[in-house]
Amino acid sequence: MFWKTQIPVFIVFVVGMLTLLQWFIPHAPLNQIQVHMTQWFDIIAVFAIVLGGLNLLKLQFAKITSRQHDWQYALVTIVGFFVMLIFGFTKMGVEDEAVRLGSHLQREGSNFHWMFFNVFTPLSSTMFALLAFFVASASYRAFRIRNAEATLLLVAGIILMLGRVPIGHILTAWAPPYLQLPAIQEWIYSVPNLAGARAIMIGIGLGMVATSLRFILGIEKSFLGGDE
Amino acid sequence: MKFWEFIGSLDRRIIFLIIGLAVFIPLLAPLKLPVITTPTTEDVYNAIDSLENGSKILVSFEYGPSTQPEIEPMAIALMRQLFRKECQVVGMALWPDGQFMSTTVFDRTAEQEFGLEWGTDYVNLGFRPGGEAVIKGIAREFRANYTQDVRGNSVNDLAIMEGVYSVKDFDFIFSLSAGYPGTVEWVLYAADPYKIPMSSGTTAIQVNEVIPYVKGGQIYGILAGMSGAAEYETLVKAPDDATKFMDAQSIAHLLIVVFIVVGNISYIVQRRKQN
Amino acid sequence: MKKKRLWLSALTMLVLLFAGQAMAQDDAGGAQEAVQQVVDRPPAAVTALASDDAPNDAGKALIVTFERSADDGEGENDVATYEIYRGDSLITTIKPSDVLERTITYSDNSPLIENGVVYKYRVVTVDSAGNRSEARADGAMATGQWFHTGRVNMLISVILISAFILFFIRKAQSGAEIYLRPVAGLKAFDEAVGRATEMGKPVLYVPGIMDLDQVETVAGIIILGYVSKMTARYETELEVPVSRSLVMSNAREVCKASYLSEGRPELFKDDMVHYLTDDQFAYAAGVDGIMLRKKPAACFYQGKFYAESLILAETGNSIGAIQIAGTASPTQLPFFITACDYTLIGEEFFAASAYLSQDPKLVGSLKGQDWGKAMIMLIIIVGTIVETLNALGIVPFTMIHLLEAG
Repeated sequence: MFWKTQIPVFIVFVVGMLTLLQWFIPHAPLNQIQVHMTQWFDIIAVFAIVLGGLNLLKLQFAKITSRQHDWQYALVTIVGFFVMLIFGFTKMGVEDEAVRLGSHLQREGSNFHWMFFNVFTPLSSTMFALLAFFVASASYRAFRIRNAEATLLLVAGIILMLGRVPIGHILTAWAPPYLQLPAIQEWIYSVPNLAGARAIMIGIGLGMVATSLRFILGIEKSFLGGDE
Repeated sequence: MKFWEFIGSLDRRIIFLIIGLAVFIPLLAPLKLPVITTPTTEDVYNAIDSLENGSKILVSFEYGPSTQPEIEPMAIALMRQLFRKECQVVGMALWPDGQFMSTTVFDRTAEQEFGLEWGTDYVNLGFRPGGEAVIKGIAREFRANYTQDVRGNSVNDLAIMEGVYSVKDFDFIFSLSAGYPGTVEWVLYAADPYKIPMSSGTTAIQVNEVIPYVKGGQIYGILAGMSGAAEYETLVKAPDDATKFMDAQSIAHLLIVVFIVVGNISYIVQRRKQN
Repeated sequence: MKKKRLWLSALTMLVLLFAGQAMAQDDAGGAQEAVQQVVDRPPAAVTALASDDAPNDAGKALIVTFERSADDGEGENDVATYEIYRGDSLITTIKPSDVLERTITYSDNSPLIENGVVYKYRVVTVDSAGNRSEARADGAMATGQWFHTGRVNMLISVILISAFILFFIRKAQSGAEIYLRPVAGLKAFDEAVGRATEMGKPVLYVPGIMDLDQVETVAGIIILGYVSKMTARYETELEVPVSRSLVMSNAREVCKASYLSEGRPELFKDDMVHYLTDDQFAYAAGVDGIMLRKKPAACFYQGKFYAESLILAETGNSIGAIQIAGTASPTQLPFFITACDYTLIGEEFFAASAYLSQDPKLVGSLKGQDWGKAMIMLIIIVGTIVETLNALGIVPFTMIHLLEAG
């Protein structure tokens, strides 16, 4: 319990207080505390990637050996993992010998560069593009005239959707400027929406302060996995 | 009645197919709808336009391949406006993929379109890990965080970096952002504390998070998603990808509105039937 | 003869006219020369030149301020540049058009500056003809400060909010009743896990896509502790795919402790918390795949999310799972609210552990947080009144002045 709770709580307290104090004390060495802490975190996170990678491989190998449903996808994952690892740590495809390891990732012609732009980029864009379809299906299902608030939401949503694109301007070009969809959407965005967003952000900010304070003072310890 | 029941429980794959067609067809046969600019985009354009010729600008790339179609048109148009004003542009990335994105943008504009000189007119410093800690670091000591550019040249040997010791030595910051770390961190840790003028271009999803800072006067305008990019291309007088994509986006938005209306008619019809 | 005379006199007149014009031009040239001599006068040197330590920093920076030359914007109005020298080295050149104000301020952040060393600055005003006038400042020394005077108001806010929180924690510990308004999303936790148990299907828990340095991720892991207790109690399968290795280690520890505290350590397996990938959309694809293959009956999204939120929630909706989201990402809240059954909005998400545990210390901290919010509301109201009165010309100051004075 001492090693799993007291010591971590003590570390959280010391680091948390130092980080808080550096905001008010610009003098050295406190001014560098946060930068150092973040760098420490990054270094630990980089080493931890090994744990994640091994866990991924272990589970995928298990899927293949036990011939679980759709085990073929696990094979694709493992091949993809090792191919990118090899391309990342070797200068395959780079003709200029003088290019240093690491810089080759940016070199046109390197296998890593090719994979990044021709496999990773289209795949990532595809996933992001799915949003267009999901927004359509979610709107179709969710924007219903159930009550007054839902109707208000629906009307605001429609005005925003049309007001932000050229077609919104065309549809209401006949109206006086302040009644055209782009103008109304700008007002909705800048006034009621902004007021709500600010209120939520203030609430979130306070929630973060209170949560951080609970961590620093050791009031909340359950995230350590010990007793609460 | 059965028709409205069918419409009410429409398989989402049919919706996906119709949306897919609505996006695809205008890309093949553009409608060339006029792009009307909005004040938030005009603010970005005017803020950059009012800079002195030859100003030093820091452009941070915080997006990856997934959001490249949305942000890259902004980045290209931004570079065109900056290079036409003979601004000196220093690029950096807070996302690892951002370095690839910045390389593509500089290659297309600074090198191919304007034929500018690396290290004098522009430079790409690339990615540094640490997220917001990098912003805090360069706010204090730029050269402790960036010792060389992506080509391996020492920062001390670059003419463009003369007189740049901290982020305060830039005349303007522009954040091209698709998430964390991004525009919000630039406002909190650089632009606002050190009073450096700043603008931003973000994905449409991010706008809601950034708009309070725009309206609070901490950022000069915002390029909001693809429509913001198209408006900015219009202002820069260089219509490009975003302008082309606006037709597809217009039709898709209109179609979603039609879906909502149809869905509601079905909902009302079914509710009456139940009553 | 008469005609000849007439011609001669006309010619003479013409010659005289030209000569007069030429003389007049000479005179003008002479006058221009005179003006040129005036222009050639060296410009007035800058005034009120001072150098001082830059405030509120760790040192290693100095500030040079001066008033523009009397020949800049007025007088001869021919100042081309101001050259600022530290000792003998030129450190920067400022054009009059670079700055709008009458007083010019330059921050010298050069890495060459050391704390405790006296530096002497001089500013040379150069006019368009290349004439130079110099002004010298007294020596100045860079030092670090032990308190940031610009953040007094923030310090007061932190102290007040912390005091509220600590006061109400003590009060709650002493047995005072603290009312918590019901939050539908939190009440639904039991229902969701119960439903998965009845259907014999797993529970999927997504703790966001960010690392442990984000407070939302840690809040998500705390909630995972409660959900894993329920799954241990009901003997329901739990699946926690994560996108960061450190989150994997932390989430495992939390789940293990939950299963242990429920007396079911044998049901805990390390691999119920497993790593997928750090990449945002690859992770979303991986989680979507798990949803479509395993068809969980309950999906929890608790943590920091970005654009993948709707991709996850819509897929969860398509498989008919009961979905409870919680996030402090304002941009993702609309998507979760649209696609999920329940959503913990912002501060509700941070308050979840207090609600779920009913621990007086945590519940007390919520009350303190509310008082902090009341204080901010009061400041906003006062600010609105002050700004309105300022706009009407009734008071000479604004809220910003008040806060800065604080």
